[in-house]
Amino acid sequence: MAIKKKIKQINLIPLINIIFLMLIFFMLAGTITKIDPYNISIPESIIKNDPSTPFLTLVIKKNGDVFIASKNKKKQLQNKNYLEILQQRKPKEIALKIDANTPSEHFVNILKILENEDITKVIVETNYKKN
Amino acid sequence: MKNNNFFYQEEKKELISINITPLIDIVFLLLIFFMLATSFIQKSTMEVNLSSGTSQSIEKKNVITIILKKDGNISLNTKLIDLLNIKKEITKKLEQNSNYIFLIKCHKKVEVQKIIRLIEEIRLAGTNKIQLRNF
Repeated sequence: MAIKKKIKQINLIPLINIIFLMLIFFMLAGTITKIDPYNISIPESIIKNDPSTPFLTLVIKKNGDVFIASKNKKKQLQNKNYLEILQQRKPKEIALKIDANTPSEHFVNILKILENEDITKVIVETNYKKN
Repeated sequence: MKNNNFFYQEEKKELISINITPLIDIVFLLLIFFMLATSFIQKSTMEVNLSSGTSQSIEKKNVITIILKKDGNISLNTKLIDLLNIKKEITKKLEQNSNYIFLIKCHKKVEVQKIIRLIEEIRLAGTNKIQLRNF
């Protein structure tokens, strides 16, 4: 009977302490990621810059498909022609979310197109990686 | 007196044995959520200024051509160079003439990741005068 009682009373407090510590670590050190509907892996960079991006984002997939996305989630722009939207809105700056494995021809082509649309600044989104 | 002691002991025992299992369950769930939903990747950006039609006459002697081949090999003015040494070489060139413009000619099939890495190495050397072309 005495042995049975001992088995029942396993001390869970150290376990709870560690779980709490892990929870606090993940809550403070991590940032909650948004689900990327385009499923692309953006390039890595060794220079840390301001991560804020303009309102409109051009998304370029590995196969060269171009999508346009807005920070305003209520407006679905993805299905429209991106050139139409650029001509309507005439932005001066635009963010570019490009897959790291995209052939450079798509990248250079899109820069030329944006230049023709009088866009002066393109902000390429990257993941910072310490060198 | 004996009876009083008995009640005291009973009360003490009850206080010690609070059921903490639901608390552990919730903490576990929270831990799993944060482990799955958070990431430690830091976001960054790279600015690209487009000339937007302002054609400037560039002297050929001020242009240094960097060729980025399909296999990732880099050559600086026809000399094959490693990516890690490019910053040093460009710094040397800039000490000679700070007006140099670096023209990156990259193969059509080379990945964007390699171009961005090369542009960053050139920027770290201390210049933003970079042009990009395909071949």
